[in-house]
Amino acid sequence: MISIRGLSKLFPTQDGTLVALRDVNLDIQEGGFLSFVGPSGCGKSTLLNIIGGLLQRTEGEVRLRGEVQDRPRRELGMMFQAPVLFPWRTIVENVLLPVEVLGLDRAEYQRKAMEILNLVGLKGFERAYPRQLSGGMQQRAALSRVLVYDPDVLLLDEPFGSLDEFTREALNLELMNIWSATRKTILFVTHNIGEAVFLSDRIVVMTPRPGRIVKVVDVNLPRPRTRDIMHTPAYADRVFEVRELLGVAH
Amino acid sequence: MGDFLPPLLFLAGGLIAWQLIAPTGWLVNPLLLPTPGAIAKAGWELLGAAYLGENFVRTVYVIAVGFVIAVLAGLVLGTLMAVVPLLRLVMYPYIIAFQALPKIVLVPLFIVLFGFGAAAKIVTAAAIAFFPVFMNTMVGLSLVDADQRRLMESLTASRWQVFTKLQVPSALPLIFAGVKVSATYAMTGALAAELIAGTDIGLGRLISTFSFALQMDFVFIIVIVIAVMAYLLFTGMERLGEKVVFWGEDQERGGL
Repeated sequence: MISIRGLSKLFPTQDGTLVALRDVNLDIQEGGFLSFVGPSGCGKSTLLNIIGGLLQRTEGEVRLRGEVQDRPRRELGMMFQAPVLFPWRTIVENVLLPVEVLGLDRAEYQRKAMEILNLVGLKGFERAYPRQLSGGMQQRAALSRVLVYDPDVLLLDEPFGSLDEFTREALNLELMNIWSATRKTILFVTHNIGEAVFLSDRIVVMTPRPGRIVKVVDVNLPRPRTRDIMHTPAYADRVFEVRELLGVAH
Repeated sequence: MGDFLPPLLFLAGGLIAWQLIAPTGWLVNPLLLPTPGAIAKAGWELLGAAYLGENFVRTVYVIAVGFVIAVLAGLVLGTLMAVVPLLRLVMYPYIIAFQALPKIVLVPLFIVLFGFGAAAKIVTAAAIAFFPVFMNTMVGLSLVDADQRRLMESLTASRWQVFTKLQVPSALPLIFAGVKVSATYAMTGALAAELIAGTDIGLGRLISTFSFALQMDFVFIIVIVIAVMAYLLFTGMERLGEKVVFWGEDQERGGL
């Protein structure tokens, strides 16, 4: 569905040029859950932003269903590390922001927004303002906002990275349920190896300076997955494999 | 009510001490500093006089019109400067220069241009009150959170949608902080112009007339009237601000 060929990204800096990505090649299938894992500076967020059309590439190309992909599109929904809610809008108004921007039928989507908020556990908070919500709840609202207009691909840039362990695990489970129900293509950036193994079909392991792909690991754990899978040897093997790839490369 | 009691007691104590000390001439010549009793008497006399109302209405009119002109001009020009980078590039140095200039020195010029009536005073009030709204509109519309902008971009928002749905609301706290400052500036400008002009009517004119006649008790009354007016104006703007910027963001961040 998405193919990346010979992709490089350079950033000019004060002391020369920073190679954020060098010669990245990757094919992404429709309907899969793909994670990008690596330490800070490996270019995983840069890569996600280029796929999302928010950053321009320096070399190479990205194609979405055969078409050159270099700008934001309705089919690609982005979610960031911060919730990025507008403080002057209630939760439901924040969730309906994409509906307004895309010029969709507000009445119809109002109902859908309520359903999604209910699904992510924000029932009763529709009319609250973001500052009245905890960080985890704000991120649930942000997740609802990207789900409401039903983009084909979700680009999630460390969406739960700033949350505490327990909240993050709960949200990962919810994300997995949503993915199981909708089978959207999900591209998920994280620096948490365990999280990546738990969620993904495939893991793109990246290393920094210059940012490049070391290997794409097939997770091959059965689905549906629950928390219990984290106690299986197969899970531990996968975590070990990714950790080795990152360790060896250093 | 409990919050009002300590300041009221302080006021009463101060007035009593003043009433007792002033006639002795111990601190100040009683001619220059009348007692609260004398001021109250003058107030009674003045509040009954028809000309106070006439002067008061004129000053309020000058402040209000000057303020409205300043806010409208500040909003329009601030927006233009924020959305047309070329305009900002060309005009910015001149605007900073004009801002640095103490506008009070322009009052004689305005009087020559617009005459001794209300117009020159309105122009002065507007010229002084213009900058806070203008600056804060320009800065507020330009200072948009990078993540929020990225979100709008990812949703394929048009420039107009970014402006109406993101830039304007996120600029509102700063714009309103500017409007509040402008309100007090308009008042200062109006009164200063009336004082300097020294002719025509208005509370500023009354102050200069009474102080030339050494009628300090009357001067104090006008000052009190102005203080009450300023207080009402400021708290009114504060209330309005809480309504407009209801999401309780810090209104004082950055800008003026």
